[in-house]
Amino acid sequence: MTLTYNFAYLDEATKRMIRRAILKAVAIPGYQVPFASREMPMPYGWGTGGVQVTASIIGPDDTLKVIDQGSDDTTNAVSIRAFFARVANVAVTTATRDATIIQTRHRIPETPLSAGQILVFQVPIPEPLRFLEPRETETRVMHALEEYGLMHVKLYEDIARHGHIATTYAYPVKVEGRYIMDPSPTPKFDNPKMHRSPALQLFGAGREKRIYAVPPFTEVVSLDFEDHPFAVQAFDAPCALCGATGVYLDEIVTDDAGGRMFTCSDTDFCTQRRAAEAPNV
Amino acid sequence: MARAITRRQCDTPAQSKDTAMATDTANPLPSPPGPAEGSAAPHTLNTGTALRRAAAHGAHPGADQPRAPGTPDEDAPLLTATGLTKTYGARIGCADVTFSLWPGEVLAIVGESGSGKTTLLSTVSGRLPRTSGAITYRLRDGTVTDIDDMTEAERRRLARTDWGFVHQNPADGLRMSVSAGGNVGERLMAVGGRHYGDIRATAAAWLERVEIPADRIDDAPRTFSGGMRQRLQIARNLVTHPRLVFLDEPTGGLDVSVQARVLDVMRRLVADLGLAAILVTHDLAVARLLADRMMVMKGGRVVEEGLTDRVLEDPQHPYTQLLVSSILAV
Repeated sequence: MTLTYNFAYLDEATKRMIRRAILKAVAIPGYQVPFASREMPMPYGWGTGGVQVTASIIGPDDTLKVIDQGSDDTTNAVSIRAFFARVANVAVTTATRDATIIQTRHRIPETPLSAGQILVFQVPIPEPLRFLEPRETETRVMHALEEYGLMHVKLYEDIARHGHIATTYAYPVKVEGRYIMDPSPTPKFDNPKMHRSPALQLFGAGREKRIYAVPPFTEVVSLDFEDHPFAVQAFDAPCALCGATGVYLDEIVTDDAGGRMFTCSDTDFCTQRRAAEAPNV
Repeated sequence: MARAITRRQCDTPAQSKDTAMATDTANPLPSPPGPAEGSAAPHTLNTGTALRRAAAHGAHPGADQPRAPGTPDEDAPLLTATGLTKTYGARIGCADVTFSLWPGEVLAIVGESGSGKTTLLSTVSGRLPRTSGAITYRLRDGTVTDIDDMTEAERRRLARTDWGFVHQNPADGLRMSVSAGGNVGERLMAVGGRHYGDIRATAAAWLERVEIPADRIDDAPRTFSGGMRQRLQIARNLVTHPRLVFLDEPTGGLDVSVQARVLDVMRRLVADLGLAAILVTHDLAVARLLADRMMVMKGGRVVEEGLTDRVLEDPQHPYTQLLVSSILAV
């Protein structure tokens, strides 16, 4: 007996429920919309939220790209890509430019996104205030009443301890001047890319059962102090493979004698640059 | 003290003649003036008794002084509670409590354990929903408003800017894993402070005021002693210059010498800043040191109210007499 799944794995009623949550999230940028998250055929923490969002928006004509820490070829990216190729029979790609939906774990591609593209983030903990205020009832009231002083306490503590804002990922942002949002554990390097992005950005947290969104061309401002303004990471050397500067680099250990190199975290970006430089290779 | 008495003198003529008459005729016990009050004493004593009488009859002293809403008046009460009742099912937490608090005045609520002091404080400060009764508060712009008429956002803003709440257990009022500077700075950031240097300088100044060494600014309160935690909690509450502070057994868990230091700090700050405070304590010595006026509670009801020195020197209600005579002499 062969099992056949509905298109994109989820049943239509579930997809409709998730789409309703997504519509509400788009209507209220940065607001966390609760939704009835389903069990997915993968463990929590592997992107169940992102997969559900992707499954409910994907159509037969879409082209899907999946990245894991900027890379197209790590386990998480490969298995989610294979999952949708099988249950939705959609085209998959590694090229940012060709994709209509990009599901991502913790990076925004270096290639600028364009209108019509959708970026789907996998989110482990959607609540930016969680580690400061453990009560869900209280954090909801704080969001409702825009009581965000506590968020700056976290940044204050950073400066008091380290002399600068030491938060480097999951750096809190204010969306459209209203809601404080956790941009998922992307490096803060990617925060400026969210600001007024032409692409729709959707965030799915499966275990925490929350969906939120940043519609195209929305203000996304990273929190900071007047005398300690927000700044992204800077790297001393360009990418060791393609020579790109102003991109986010990963450290790769090359031997056990202390050898290491820094290369683009976005593998597609790096590959395309090298292909353009050396068309014969 | 002197300030509170002046206010009372100002208020007395505005009080209804009926209340004053009732006081004069219905008070069978002569009230000798307390030692500290000087010439103002007989006047204030009468008013204190009048307030008590008014409370006992369920009348509300503020009601005798009608004022157009919205008129700023320095002599108007800061906070007025009318017929405040909180029941836990069939049991009474506090019942039919009526009082007014004037700017710069410290009101002590005393009584034994279980007499409803803390319930009353929580109810007045809005931390517990009340069963019945009303609370009005005079805002900074002079508007007198019913707490129920405010939105939740306004109430919460009031509670973190114009009010302070010092818990008996500092762990309830502090963020134990956030540095002392962060604890003091939280309220500043909550009202929009976005300059790290300024916030830190203000926090440092406040730590100095509550006698916490400047080099502890980056240490978490969990590394502090009990007395330091309590003083930090006071600094954290006072940084936005509130006009009203609720103190719930502020020296409850401290040993005597540490208590003295906390009380010193508190007495100095209350005087310097002209704070109004409602102080809950079972320790009559603390009430004597800090409070202008006190209310004695028993079984959830106020049994006696008056100037601190009057109540302690000349207790009228049998229960207060028992309470005062139970103080251990060293």
